[in-house]
Amino acid sequence: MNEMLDQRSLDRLASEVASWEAQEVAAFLRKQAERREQFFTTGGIPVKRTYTVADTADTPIEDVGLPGRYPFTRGPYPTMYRGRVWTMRQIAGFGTGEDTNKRFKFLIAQGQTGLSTDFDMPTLMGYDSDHPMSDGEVGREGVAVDTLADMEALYDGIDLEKISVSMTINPSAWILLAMYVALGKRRGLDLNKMSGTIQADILKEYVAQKEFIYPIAPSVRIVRDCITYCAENMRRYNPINISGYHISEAGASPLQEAAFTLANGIVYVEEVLKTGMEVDEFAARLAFYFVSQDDFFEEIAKFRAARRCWAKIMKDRFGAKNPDSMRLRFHCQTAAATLTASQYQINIVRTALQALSAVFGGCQSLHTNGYDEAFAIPTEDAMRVALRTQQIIAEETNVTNIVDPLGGSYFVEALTNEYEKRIFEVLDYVDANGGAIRLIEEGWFQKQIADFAYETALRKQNGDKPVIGVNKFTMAEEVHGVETHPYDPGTAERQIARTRQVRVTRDEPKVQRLLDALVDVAKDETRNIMPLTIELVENGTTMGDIVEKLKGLWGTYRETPVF
Amino acid sequence: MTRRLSSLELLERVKVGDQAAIARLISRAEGGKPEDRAALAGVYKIAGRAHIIGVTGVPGSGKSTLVARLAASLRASGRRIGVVAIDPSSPYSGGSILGDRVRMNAVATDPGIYIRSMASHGATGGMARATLDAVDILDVAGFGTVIVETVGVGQDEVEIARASHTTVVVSAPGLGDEIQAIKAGILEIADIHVVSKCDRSDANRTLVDLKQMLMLGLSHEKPEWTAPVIGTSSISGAGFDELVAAIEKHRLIAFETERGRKRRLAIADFRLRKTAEDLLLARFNASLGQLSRSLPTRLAERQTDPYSLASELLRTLPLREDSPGAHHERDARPKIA
Repeated sequence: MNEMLDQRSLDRLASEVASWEAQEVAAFLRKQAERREQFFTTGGIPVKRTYTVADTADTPIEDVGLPGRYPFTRGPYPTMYRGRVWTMRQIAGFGTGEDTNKRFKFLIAQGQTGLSTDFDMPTLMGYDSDHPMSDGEVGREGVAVDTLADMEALYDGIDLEKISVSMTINPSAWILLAMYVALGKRRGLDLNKMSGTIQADILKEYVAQKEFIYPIAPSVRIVRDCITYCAENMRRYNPINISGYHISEAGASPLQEAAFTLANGIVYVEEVLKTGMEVDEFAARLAFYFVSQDDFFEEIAKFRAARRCWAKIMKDRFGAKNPDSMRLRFHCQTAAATLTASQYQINIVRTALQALSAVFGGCQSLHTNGYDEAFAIPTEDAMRVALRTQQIIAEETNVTNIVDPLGGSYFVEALTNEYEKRIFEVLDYVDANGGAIRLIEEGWFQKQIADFAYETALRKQNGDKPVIGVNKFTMAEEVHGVETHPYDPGTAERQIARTRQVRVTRDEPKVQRLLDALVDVAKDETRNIMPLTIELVENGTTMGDIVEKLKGLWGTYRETPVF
Repeated sequence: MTRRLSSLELLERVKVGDQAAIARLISRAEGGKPEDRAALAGVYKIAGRAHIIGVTGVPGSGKSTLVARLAASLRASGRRIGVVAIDPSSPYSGGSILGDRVRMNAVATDPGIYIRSMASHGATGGMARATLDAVDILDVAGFGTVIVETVGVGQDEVEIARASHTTVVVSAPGLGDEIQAIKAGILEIADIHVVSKCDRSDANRTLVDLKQMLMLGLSHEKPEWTAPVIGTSSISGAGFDELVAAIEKHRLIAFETERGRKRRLAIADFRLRKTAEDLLLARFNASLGQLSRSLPTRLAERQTDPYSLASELLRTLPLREDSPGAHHERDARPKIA
């Protein structure tokens, strides 16, 4: 029990609440019933009419704690945004490296403080731009990267020791990381000064986003190799971004997002520990990525609880000693799935509120969605408005002047506790049922998500969950004058030309020799796949060459469609 | 040997729930002879009380096991339950009437549950009419709920499942090519979706894929009814309480709403078409008996073409009103009861 409250005070409070319910509340309810019989969060957690100190009386003082101190409920750092506001990291990617490079420079000129790179589908799936599967997709929804030459163009003129760069890529992530390392070396940079993040979270692909190439076991091994390589060579780099965002976008509840993400995180830690590395040697660089959804307070509670749970997991389960290993740091993105095509301008408002949640939740970096993203990838105008939204929160609202201003709110603390309890319940279930990988194979996560997604879809259909402009306050015959991002039909040609140029100028026998050597490394699970991959990309090997070569060894993962 | 009772006499016994009479009258319905029509017409006029549940799904989806368990669950509420299973003789178990009986063994001894298999033997003519007549016979015999089980393959079977107040579509994991559920067009007729065999872990995939597909079909107009998706296990009994609750809820929609009224109208329309089709086919076949052999000869020698000749045939056939004894086409069908 919270030692600041004695039993007498609690009893007095209880009788006060009882008399309030009997008098004021009852009188009001006689005049007008409440809007619903029962109220719930978006995630389906029941909420009470109001909360009092009694609702947090059971919380140990140290569980709420202080910012920058275990269990980090109130924030990973003691001064938070008073020292430096979160990194404003708008994701961008389209066309060739040159095209995206221009957008990056535009965003930096607008005051963006970090870069985030979106790759096209072929790159995400490990196909070169001239592969038949890539036809029509090259540079359409992200930037095309086949070779180191593409990456050089992508980050040309950008100081990679000064600005942190995030790359959103998964099954082929280690190849992009290798290119990033090769680029740093070529520029003569200190690898230990290069900061940034590569997503490389393959487990959530099987669970939610469905971008995978190889079977689960070799895929997880690749992730392990990224983590151990960075632990030894890139002190400031986050070798993984353990992601709930995609789980949420696949329709999961906020609780499922948080719990499943931590479950995946546990797998990665266990995999690295198997190599003999100590937990404090790598855990500090594990980064997370969550969505900020539509339920304002629930999201804040989710972020706070995720931090507290991870700290406890790292300390109690894995025996971490260094506080950095227990400090959950996360990137946040507003919820794309909440954006609507109808009355699309109101997406700006949705995004602003979600961004505010993320800031109250203590995110380390933030992407705010463009108002036009229900139509296409965002235009410059949409990205500027989105960035300005963050800048307004950071500069005009003064919410950044206090660390965790909602700490101590009876409701937020009670919901944070509820989240912690429910997250650990899920994790206990996962442990009791063979672990996350086993449950992925059995489709258990997928089913939980589909159930919640389906319930939500039904609630939107029957109007129980309002979506302004879609099932409520709709407007007749909308003409949206939205100008969408154009696709340059010459992209593929320009891209393929460079890839072919690299292929004809490289030392082909050497590339083939290295590829054969890569298979040997891949066969030996005790070895790290990164160093040889770096050598491969330095010698003009394409992503497709590497991916295809290993398909010969590992095969591919297939999900047979049921319907 | 007992005296052969007329079908009108059988009807009187059916009304008081005489099981032997029910079996015989259903056989007469299957026979489809003109002399039995008066009794079947009489059945129709006094039927209409029972809640009719159509259960369909692709072969191997565990329908029969599910129906047996469902019948027992519904029976628990005290109502008597009739089951009419249309047996497709058989894409899956090679004449599975016995197979069905074995799977339904658990309930076959309860006098409050009556199970009847109707064999189709590939001859779809008359099956829909006979099945719906059988449902009415059970209705008149006092069965408060009648379950019609069909294999969701083939238009007639699907339409029969649709010709009920509440249609349950069963999907199951591990069948490999379940895409046939879409091809057969049975997903969209569901008032209730069941994913059977949920004791298996691969049922998760089936539930996920089914829900994702159903989500594509949702609109933002508030519907009177949205088909729930229920996972069941006939082994553990999981999900059956939920299924029974959903069926009960849908029964109110079926009997007390405009949607239900429209549905009954559609069923009547189907019934009318199927009966007319059956009568027409009967007359056609009867008339064909007198067809001169010269017509096929002309066709075989390519003096004419099948289209012109068929038109000529239809013009010249009397298609006369049939009378007792002039009716042959049902003779090919096996008698069951």
